[in-house]
Amino acid sequence: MTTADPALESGPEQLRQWNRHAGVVIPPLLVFIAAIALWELVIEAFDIQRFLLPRPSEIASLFVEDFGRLIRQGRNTLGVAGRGLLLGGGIGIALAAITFRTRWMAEGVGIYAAVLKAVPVISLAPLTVVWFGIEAGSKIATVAIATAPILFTYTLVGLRSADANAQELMRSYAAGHVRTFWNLHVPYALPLFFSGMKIAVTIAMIVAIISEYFGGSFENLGGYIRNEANNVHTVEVWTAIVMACLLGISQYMIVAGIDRYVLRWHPSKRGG
Amino acid sequence: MTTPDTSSEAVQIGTQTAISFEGVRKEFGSGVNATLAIEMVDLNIAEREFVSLIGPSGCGKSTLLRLAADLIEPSGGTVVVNDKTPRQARLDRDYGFIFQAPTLFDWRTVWKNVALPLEIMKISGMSSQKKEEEIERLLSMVGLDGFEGHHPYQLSGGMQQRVSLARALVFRPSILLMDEPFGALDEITRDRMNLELHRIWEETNTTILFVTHSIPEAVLLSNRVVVMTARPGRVQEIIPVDLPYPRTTEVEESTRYYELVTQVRESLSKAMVGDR
Repeated sequence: MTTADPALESGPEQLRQWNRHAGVVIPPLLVFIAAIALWELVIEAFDIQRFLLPRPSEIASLFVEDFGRLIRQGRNTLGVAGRGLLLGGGIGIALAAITFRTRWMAEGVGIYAAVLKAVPVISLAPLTVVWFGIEAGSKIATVAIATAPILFTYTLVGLRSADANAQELMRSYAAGHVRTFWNLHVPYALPLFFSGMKIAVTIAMIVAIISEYFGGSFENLGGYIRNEANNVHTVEVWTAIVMACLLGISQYMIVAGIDRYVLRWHPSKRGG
Repeated sequence: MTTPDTSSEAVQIGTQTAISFEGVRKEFGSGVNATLAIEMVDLNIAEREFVSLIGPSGCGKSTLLRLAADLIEPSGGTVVVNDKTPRQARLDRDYGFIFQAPTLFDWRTVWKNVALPLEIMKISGMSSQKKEEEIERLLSMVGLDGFEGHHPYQLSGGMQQRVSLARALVFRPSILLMDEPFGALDEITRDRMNLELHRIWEETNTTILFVTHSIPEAVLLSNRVVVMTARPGRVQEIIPVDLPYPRTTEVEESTRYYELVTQVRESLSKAMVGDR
């Protein structure tokens, strides 16, 4: 019993793993603390005015004080970003799934996806307001327009990356298109799909906040930033920025976590 | 159909033709860029036969195999598989194809890789319990007991290729088309796999068409060795292999075996000279 204790057996390995994690976490943490300290120091040394650049400590205490409201506003922004991503991602993925087998179709759609990625989508915001109104509808539409081409491109390339021999193997089984799609193309598409998702969640958040900034309700991060900035409440603006950062980072980490779990069989995820 | 002479009573070659090529030609590309891969290929493979295709690189060995599998279509001539068009034979799941690369699905365990054809084909009249027994039996036959839950990346190249062999056998195709299946393995593993394959062939009623680069491998495994010329590929010579069964290491050390290896080697060098 004593010799077979799994906790003891895995002790050194766990320690090594912990060391590895510490190596990843500690340096950025030190940089962060140094930056905050420098920030405070600069304000002290050059006597910078509060409305230009508030102290980190001041932002932190107001953040804690306003946490309830910021979370509520953050949730509304997240709702817009999420629904927009669902819509845009759904359209992008569906178009990729429909066109990936036919080169001319994929290229026909692909050109517009490339154009949409090049266009600063936010410039379309006034148009979507005309079409879908000043509230959530137009913002969801703008997020969808921004994220659809990203997920289309990544999913398309992923679906096409299926190994040639494996495709012939499915053909030799006389497997239909649907079975080949689910059994072969989808697993091959997953790594790139997740890469696309990591970019798309970030873009969705950015586009949601900016389109909120353009108009509509104040009960969201973008609207709140607009309102407080107009009144030169710089500390309040900063708390909203911090909340937006935290939400963005946690979204990214959730997607990255799902990615790691779902693709634990993939060469890029195992080992190391 | 002429049946080759075998000196054994243990292995009975059938009288029916399993695969036939008649005046088969295959061109890749078109116009000025077209390359002729094979031409005027006539070849009959009887049911239950083990035939090796050997020849210099680019002689169209794999092309012949892929034509039989309906992975590509001939530019001329006819290919018949089990008295059907290759397409119909493919739709009827008459053959199993084994690639040089194991071509396993990384996201599936060993067990689920072997189960893949059964999932796709939805073979009727086979209960799920019977399927499980069959997978178990095959995994133990290829020596992979205890590796059911492993993922392909946890296995060596030889083990991966054994999984792919079990996967090809699980739906009991009457024909195995093998494209240099052991080409990427080290020599010791390769020898073991060859003997294993030969044992499987002796135990089942399978016709095997086997593409290889290795002369000893071709001689050891086959009833007949088909030597092909370089591009465009044609049949240079068909050499019957009159070695006794079972083909063991003893057979590998016999004089007759060495004579046959020499015969194939000479035929092969003639095929290369003819190319120039």
